[in-house]
Amino acid sequence: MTTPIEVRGVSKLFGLVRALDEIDLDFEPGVTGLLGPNGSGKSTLMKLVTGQLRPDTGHVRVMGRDPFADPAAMTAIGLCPEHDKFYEEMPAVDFMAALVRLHGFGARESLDRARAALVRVDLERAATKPLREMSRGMRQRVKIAQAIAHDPLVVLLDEPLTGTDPVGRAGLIDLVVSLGTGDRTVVVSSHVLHEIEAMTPQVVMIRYGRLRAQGNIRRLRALLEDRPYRIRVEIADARGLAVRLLASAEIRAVSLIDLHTVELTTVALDVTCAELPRLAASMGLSITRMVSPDADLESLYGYLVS
Amino acid sequence: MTHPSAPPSARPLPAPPSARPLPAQVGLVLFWARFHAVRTLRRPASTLWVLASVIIVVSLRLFGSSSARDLVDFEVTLIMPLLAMLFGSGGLREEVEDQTLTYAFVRPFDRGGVFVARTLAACAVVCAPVLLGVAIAANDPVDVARDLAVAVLGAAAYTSVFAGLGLVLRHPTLIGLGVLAWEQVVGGVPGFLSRLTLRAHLRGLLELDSGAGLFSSMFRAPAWWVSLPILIGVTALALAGGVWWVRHRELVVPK
Repeated sequence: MTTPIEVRGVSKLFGLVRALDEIDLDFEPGVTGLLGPNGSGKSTLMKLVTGQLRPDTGHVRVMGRDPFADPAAMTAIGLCPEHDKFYEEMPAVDFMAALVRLHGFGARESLDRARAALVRVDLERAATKPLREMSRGMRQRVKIAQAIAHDPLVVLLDEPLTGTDPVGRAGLIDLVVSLGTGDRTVVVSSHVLHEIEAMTPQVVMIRYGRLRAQGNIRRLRALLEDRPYRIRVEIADARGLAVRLLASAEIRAVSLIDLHTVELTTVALDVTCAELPRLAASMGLSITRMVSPDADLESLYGYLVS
Repeated sequence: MTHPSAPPSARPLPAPPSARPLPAQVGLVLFWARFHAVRTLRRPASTLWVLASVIIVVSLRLFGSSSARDLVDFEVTLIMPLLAMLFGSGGLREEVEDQTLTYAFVRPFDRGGVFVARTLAACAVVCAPVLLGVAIAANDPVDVARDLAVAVLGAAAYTSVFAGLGLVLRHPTLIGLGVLAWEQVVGGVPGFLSRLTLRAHLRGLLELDSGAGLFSSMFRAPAWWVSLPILIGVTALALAGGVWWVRHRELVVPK
């Protein structure tokens, strides 16, 4: 079975700047979030995978093919680029149909595929509108539509939600999630952590061109044993719960926020999360709210990247 | 990193373009060339240039005292190189600057094909007014057929050269103007040096030999069997060089 995207020992230099440094990565089917601050190498990685750049060391393969040297690799690729540029004078549907034709489809089928992709991004009513007259959010949708119109196996979306309104953003998040079902590999790069979190638990984090982490957010967080979790619990008798928690081996610290809120620090999130309802039940109470500010992507990103 | 529920990627890839029959690849080049030629002609600035070149020839034909051969000479050796520089040197460089090149480069379409298509598009845009101008200027129907063929050949040669320059140079207009100056100045110098210009070979094919009297041998244009292979060779060399460059170099779209 061919790995959809294989990156092996890849380095890329721009003059004296090492944009990527010995990166090893595999992207498998499903949605994967590509995270990192500005200048971390996300866009360079995207350009290498889409054959716009050639690695200085190592190799990139998309469905087993070299995307820089072998145009056939592009059959499998759909790219939503970061920049907001088009053949501005053209209607969206004509622009897309022209690009689909470069995949070898006939004129009729290209037009049908372009229309279908525009329907998928909820732009069917603006299909004949010139691109220069479209809002930023609509243009973003056209970029996504042209990336999926030829039904590629690998979809790369570089900052796909930039400029979209909240309602549109929710729709696009659903679209990205749906793209990741089946055998398609979707890589989404973004700075906005909660957007990535809404799309997928699978992430790749890079900084200074180096791979910092890859995998499931929760599993990655669990590996950070030296970084305990804080859990904030709301309960009728916070003081009573605090006393009971102090006896637990996993609990490192307990502090009372107010009469009904206690914040604890644990080294074993899963164990404590299972234990807390039992403790509350033994007190004849129930927990009204329980949150861990350290278990989300933002916290993980903060530890690993910032 | 594998998603727990991810199914295997068993969907086969469609046949790569290299495995497709040659007519399909040629078809893609022609489609992309037509697409960009139409785009170029729809731009007001391009339309203005094309119209201006036609209006100049029509005006000279109607109100000027120049002979038909002089007008053909003017059209093929001055207007045509100028239009070729304007439309040819833009090509892919323009798409890099406009950040639109990515859309073509992430398709299963050989990058060399993208370059050839853009050059063909520019050549078509150059040919449109030049062929019209030549047809308007010419008198003799026998000459017209030959003049039109030579004009197409010249447009191909000039456009390929300027497209190649546009590809490798960041600011091709300055060098392009230098090439035009070389063509006009050196092309008019008697002797062997003029044969280092496309202009001299085009004039030879158009039978615009202006040599006379004592210095006739110095002004004599090259024979057709010299000029024809040279013009075809320059076109092929410029195209092949451009194709090699596009295939092997990174054309990075700026952020």
